[in-house]
Amino acid sequence: MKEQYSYEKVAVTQIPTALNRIFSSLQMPEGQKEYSRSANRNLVMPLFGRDVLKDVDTLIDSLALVHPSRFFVVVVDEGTQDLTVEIGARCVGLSKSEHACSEVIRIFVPQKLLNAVPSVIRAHMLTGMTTELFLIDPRMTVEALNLMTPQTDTILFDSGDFDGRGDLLSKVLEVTPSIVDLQWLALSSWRDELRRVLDWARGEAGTPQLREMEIQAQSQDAKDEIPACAALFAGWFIERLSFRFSPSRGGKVVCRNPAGREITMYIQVKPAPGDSKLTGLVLKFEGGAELAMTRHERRLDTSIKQANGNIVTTARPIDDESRGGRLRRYFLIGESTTNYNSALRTGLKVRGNR
Amino acid sequence: MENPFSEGENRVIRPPATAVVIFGATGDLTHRKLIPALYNLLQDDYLPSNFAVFGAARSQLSDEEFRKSMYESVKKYSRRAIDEKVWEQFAKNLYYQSVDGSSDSGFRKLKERLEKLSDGGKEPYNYLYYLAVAPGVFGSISSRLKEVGLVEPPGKGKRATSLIVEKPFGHDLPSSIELNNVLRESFAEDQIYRIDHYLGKETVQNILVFRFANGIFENVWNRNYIDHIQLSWSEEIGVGSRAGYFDKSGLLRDIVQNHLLQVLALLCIEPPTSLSDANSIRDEKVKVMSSFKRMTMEEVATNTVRAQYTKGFVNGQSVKGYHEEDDISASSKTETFAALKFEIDNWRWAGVPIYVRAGKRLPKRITEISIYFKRPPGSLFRGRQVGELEQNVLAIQVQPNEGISLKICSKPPGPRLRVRPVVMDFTYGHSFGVASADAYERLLLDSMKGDATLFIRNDEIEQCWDLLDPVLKRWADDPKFPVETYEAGTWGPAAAAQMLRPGNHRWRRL
Repeated sequence: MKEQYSYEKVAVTQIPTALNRIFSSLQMPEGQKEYSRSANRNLVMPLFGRDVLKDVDTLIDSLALVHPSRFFVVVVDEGTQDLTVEIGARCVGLSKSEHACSEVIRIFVPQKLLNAVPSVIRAHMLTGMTTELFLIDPRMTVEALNLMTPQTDTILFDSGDFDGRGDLLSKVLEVTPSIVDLQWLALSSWRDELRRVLDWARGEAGTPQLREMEIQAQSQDAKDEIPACAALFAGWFIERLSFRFSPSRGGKVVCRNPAGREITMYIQVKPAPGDSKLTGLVLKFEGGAELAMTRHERRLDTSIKQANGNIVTTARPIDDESRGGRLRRYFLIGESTTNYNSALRTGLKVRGNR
Repeated sequence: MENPFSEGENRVIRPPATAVVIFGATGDLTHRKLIPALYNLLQDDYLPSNFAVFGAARSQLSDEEFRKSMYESVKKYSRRAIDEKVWEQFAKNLYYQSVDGSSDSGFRKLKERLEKLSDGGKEPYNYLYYLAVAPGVFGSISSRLKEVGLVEPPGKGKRATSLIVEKPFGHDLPSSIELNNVLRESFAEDQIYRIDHYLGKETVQNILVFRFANGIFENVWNRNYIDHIQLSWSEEIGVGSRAGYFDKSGLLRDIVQNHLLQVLALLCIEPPTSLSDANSIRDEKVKVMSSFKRMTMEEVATNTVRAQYTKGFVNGQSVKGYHEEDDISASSKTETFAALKFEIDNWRWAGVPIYVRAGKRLPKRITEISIYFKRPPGSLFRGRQVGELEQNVLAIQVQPNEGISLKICSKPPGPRLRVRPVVMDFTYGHSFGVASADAYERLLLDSMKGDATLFIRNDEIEQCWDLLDPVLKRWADDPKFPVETYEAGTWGPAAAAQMLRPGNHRWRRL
């Protein structure tokens, strides 16, 4: 059951009073009076146009179930003359008698007043609570990032939304060590499968020497730079095996392992509509062994060809890759981000970003 | 023989017949706080049936003019809408007398009018003199009162006569001693009530109840469990119309020396022998203040930061910097922000840093005490992608949203063992359903009853000055001691954050 309070324009100084008033007047269906206000998190979402506001409400609803927060939705809108504020509440039913409500504070500003926005956020943040900055609009600017990060603990985003924005991704790495990248979550099935195969291979006949690999991906703009999914995966792979490397030239990355042995990495990107994603991974070893991981819809097929010619195949599901699905998974199950920062840093270097 | 009717009965809270004389009656404090507080005490039926309020100042006003002016103030500043019937009763007992410290004629007239109150065999009125005036005239007023016979020695006359004074109690240790000597020429120590209105706030009084009425907290209220303490005082407003006064004192004198050190004292004292005996608590406060380590001149450099705000945005509004405010000179070094690190050298607190910050033109108005507990050993959660466990934080918010919260770690729903912080909290409004009275209401009532528990004794004031004097001296005498800057609407200068880094601490984001 969803209940929502339509957005109401208020003066900035009246935000707390207005939020209290909203909650005291929330109309719940008969017998369903219990609601809880967001109390544990602040979540800031900068947008660069009103066109995405509806999507944001949908996102807030899905987050309210797993991550109820006080949302600050900052909308840079050149149609606005001054800084104006609207408030609302979006409530989602947890059970028959309980609702979790997220308070939403929308701040509309023209670009020239963007530097006033952090003061509004600071004045109305939930005291002492973690603050997350959720970058969901690909039009996000470095200037806005610089303004928002002093009051931010964690940056949440999908690096796949920022293909072509190496400047922004580099800045994200620079401004905070705490990053949750939904693209990283999308790769977890691939990373986990590789881990599983290596565990198995060690048990079987030791780890053969890698000589060549191919990362396959699809992207809407295949001609542009390597998409985030491939760059991130390549960065992770290189970091985990301590390779040295030269940035990609036409999709070819020359690597050397710690023993000095050369391994060639190819990154092949094919044009396809929809979000960028990994479609396959091929590892070729000395002696003819080969590992191939291939995506089929929501399934990841793994084929291992051993040096003696035996072939072993397995399959596993790929986790829900929708944004909502990845968010739910992160907040409900969690994901290790231990190696993420180094993976992104290296991935940016692979594709030649500074 | 004991009175059998007293057993099991609550003591009556209403004080005896009292006349409150407010010197400085045309000033800001009277309008905004004192008269509204007295009015609300009457509305809550706490005032004695025989009470009177005299406003006293140099202006020539009639009783009626004064009543009209106070009516507007109560309408504007009272925490509740004015009740006309209550006001009518209040106004009947509200008077005005013009006085001038340079002559005694006004004081003689005042005496005549006060003595008339007790005419006709009524219970003699106690006299409570409130000096809502600059400290420079404390001496002349108190000596005039004595000269005309309006001060009676404690326990000897037919009435109690007391004096209430507000901060600032001097501007350093020598001046506070001198000020006290001036007051003591006319009044005994027991007759002097030094107000720090923070002690009248419910949440500040609650510190003692919280610590000593709950069995679970006192055992962990020490260096073995507490990692560090933060005390933050923040206002979003600038100096406004107080610029001239503020620039002479600065935030250290205006806020830290009195309000914040009083709060810290209550937080850190040993259990008093009694909560009903004023001196029992005040003795403990003096003890703990004397245990604060005094800073050397070198330590002032590493353990203190001062700063001034520059132009910026506060809650979306563009505001000017301190040097651009009216009546502030471009060469002023007066701090609008101060951060200090204290340590207490006793068995309970040795090794626990206490960080205090106070500032104007910060993002919001809030006063909060945050007690950070030590992290547990994380060995149980190693290898579970938990990350560093967050510290438990007990936060006591003094204003604006009075209440207490405790941050703990919890497992969020899901198939994996993860740890995330959550908050348990209590707010006064939700728990008790009534708005807290203004601090001045409680303090005025207690002073009328002769209860000095919430007032500051002179030795406490001297301890507070003694603690801060090295800081004030270094800041004043060392031309090279930096005056940092911070953009209005931010949480202070980078140097304040830097001050916490050696302890691996960070200011709580409020």
